[in-house]
Amino acid sequence: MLLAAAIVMASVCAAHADDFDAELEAMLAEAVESPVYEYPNIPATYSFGLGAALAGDDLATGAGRYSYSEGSGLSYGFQTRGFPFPHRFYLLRDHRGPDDNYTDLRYAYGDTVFLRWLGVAVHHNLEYEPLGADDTLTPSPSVNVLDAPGGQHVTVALNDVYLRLKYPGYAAHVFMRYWERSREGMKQQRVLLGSGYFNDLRKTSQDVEVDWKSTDLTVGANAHLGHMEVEASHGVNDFTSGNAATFDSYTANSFRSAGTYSHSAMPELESSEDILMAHTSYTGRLVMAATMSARESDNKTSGAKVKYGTTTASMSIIFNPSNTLYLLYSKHTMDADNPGAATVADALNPANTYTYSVRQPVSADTSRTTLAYQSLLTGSLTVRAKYSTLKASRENSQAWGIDTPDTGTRTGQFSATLRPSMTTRVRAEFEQKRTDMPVYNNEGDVSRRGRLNVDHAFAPDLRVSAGYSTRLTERRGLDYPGTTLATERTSASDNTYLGAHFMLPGGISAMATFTKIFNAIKQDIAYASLSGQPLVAPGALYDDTSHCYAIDLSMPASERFTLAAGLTFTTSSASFRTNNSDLTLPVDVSTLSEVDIRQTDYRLSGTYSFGGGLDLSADLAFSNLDDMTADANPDALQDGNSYKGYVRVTKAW
Amino acid sequence: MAFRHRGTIVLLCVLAVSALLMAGCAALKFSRPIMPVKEYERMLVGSLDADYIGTNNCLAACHAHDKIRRDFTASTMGAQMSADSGMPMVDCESCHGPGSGAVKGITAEKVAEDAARGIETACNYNALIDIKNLPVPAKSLMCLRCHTANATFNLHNFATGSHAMNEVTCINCHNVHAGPDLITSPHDVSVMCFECHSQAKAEFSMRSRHPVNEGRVFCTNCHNPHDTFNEKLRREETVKETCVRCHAEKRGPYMFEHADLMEDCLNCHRSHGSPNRDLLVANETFLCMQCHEGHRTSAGAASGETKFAYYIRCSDCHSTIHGSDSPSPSGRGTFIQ
Repeated sequence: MLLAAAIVMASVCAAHADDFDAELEAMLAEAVESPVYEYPNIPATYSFGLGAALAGDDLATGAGRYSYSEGSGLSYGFQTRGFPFPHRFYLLRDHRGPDDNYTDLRYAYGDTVFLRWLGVAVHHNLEYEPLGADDTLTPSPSVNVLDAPGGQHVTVALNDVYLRLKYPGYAAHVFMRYWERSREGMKQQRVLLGSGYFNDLRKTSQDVEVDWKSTDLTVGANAHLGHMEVEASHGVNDFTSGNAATFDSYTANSFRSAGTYSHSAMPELESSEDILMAHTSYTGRLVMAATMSARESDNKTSGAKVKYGTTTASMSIIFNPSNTLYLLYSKHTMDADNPGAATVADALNPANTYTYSVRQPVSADTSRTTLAYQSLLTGSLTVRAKYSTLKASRENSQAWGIDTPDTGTRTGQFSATLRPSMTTRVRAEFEQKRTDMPVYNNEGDVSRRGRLNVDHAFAPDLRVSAGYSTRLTERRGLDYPGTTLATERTSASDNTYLGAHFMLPGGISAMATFTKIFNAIKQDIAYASLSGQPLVAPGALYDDTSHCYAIDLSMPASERFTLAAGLTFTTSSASFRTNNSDLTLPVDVSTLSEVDIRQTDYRLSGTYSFGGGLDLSADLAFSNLDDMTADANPDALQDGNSYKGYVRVTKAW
Repeated sequence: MAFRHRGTIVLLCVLAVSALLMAGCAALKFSRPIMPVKEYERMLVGSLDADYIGTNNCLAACHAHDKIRRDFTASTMGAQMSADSGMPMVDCESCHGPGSGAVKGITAEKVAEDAARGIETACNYNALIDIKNLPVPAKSLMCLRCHTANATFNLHNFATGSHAMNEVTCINCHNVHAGPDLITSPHDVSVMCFECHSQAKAEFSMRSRHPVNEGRVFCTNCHNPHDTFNEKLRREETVKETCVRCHAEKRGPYMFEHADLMEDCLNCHRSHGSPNRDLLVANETFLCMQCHEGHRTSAGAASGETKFAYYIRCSDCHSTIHGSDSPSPSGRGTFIQ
């Protein structure tokens, strides 16, 4: 209703634009008497580079997460920029391997045509999760490994094409966006075969092909209507997989016969979305904006559907340069549905078909309101207060054991920024959040967060910054299906940052940083018992800590030579601990998932100019990973190294 | 409810088209502020004693800004919309104010004389608008005066976004004199973001991470630096919609899902980096046991072998954890099949 009223108001206001039109024509008539503008003559620039790429890693290591071990070979790059006005174009292609490249293409004709294509390809080595050794004396559980670590990877390709066509002389245009992402490769598939019951568990690991593509196509129109700018768009999405499902043999259980059934299926998905947006001029005391969207997603394979609707409106009011008010309201609806039954059939004996009922999914409506006020108290002190509420209301939740379908959260935040001088800035923030009837165990009743940041420039070449933030969240009354004895949860995090930018002898610019990130959760956890209630392990503790030390150096650019180097050393550890003897004897479960890693990354890059537009550039990266765990549980991480190097000769015109 | 949203959107589109026809095409040229902020607009007028002299006169005697001028002319700011108008789209004085006071008394001869004495002739910058010391909203207004009228929906939510509220302006990220490319390259975005969001850079060095430091994923893939209605400047309305922009295989919907927990991937994953595999918030099995009871197959303590079976990773068996259309062997939706 608000949006409709605003559009009507805009059209009325636009009628008064005719007066301005006449004034502008008079101004333009005067300007035409001046010399006619001539397009400047700016020569195009070109550069082409050819070189070699060397890359390799120990395939079982986690060091080369994004290195392409088969990427040794040719690398090339070219860049061109031209201004045959009114045409303008730009093309950059950096090819470091078939699975590692970047493309940026832009073309414009005046301000009426604009085209941009951004393309990225990246090679991602995947971790391999060993299932552990099989104890042949025990029939269940058993372990069946049909693959081997190393070689699991995906190549991710992302392409984003945007085309805009504007009406000459008017602020109105139509646009099209095409967004495609695809993955190809091979990944480890872990699956439970056998009968699926405790007396016949067959944990299996095998390689499967990855081959999927998802495309989005959006078309829309945009125009100014007096005080308002309005945009409407329609988009469709399509997801297909070349490897729809895997078929394996299962043994019989009380629910179905033995047979060959599908698992890990990737369905065919379609969705569509309509969006309408409007806003007033950004330059007024009063700025309003609103968005309405509706989206539907369909699973063409199973028939599951979900519909989303979102309405959001915001307003900012500048009372005077010292005081600004912000308001936002958003409502989001999710309406999920499924056919109510799922069927599974023996691929080799279709007569064995089984249909099972499926409970309806949870649907949810959420609404969010935010009110914020900012005030410049003095010339150097700005304070902000913000209050927001979030209400969630769920349908079909009781079928899922969620007894409290409605949740409400209230958040209050206060922050201040102080600039005692031109060279110093101090920022402090405090936030408290309260949730009524939290639904999931990882939500808290009360959460408090504080943050302090300080930046100071001792000199133009010496700047330091420091930051600290901490959060504490508490929950009383956890929800486990079979017990009420697990009640308490506390989670905490604190993060520290120190950074300095300074100059070293020889004019070398240096940036050194230290970051510590710490997260911890202490929670009563429950585990099933064959008799009676689940047992509770009170106060089980999870925590992870990371320290990151980094230094980056840059030699001053001289006429011929530039050089940059960097070193990052990261330590990460994570563990799960409990005092409960059931979980610690005879094997301590904490040893099965702990993480303790040291990773060192070295970077070196430089360019030497021979003159005449001829350059030699090199870009080297080396990573070392040390897995510090005792490997009581064989995990994916193994010690190892990874390297990538590119050498290229480039000629520019 | 969502269907009613779609019908409402169609109705409003019809209204918008009708309003367009009523207003006439002339209205398309204009976008004017509701109650101009006169205090800031006065700051951007510049010296009332000075005259506009044009770019050629601003830089006629001085070569120190030759590169800036060449880059600016080659950019969309300096490009000509139409040769008939006789004016460039934007020139020096559009932002710096009327320049006659800054170049008063400076001639090519004087510049040459000073250069012979080893002196670089300086303009009287005090006669121009003191952009560095403008209040933050005035700095933004300098750009928004034009970028509110040329159909740029990038800034749709800028006014009430986190960046605007925290005094981040256009020129914190956009250096209009850096070169002819005024579109900030995705490669440069991350470097800019890390200047304030330094913790994120450390997160991207962790064992499991998005390849931002490798230059293959960019902050702008998930966040809109020009602000959105969504928390943390997320591009899409929900966390899930933001993640499935790339991780499309997780979009669903599926017959068997994790209730509405799936709408927020951050329930189980971190977005930047994690010491745990797959960007997990906590390692399995603790991650799952926050909400689910663990397995136990006998009245006594689980044997070592049982622990290996159940307590390494829940997803070894519950492998289709993001959603499945297949019932498990028992006919239920336990994400085994």
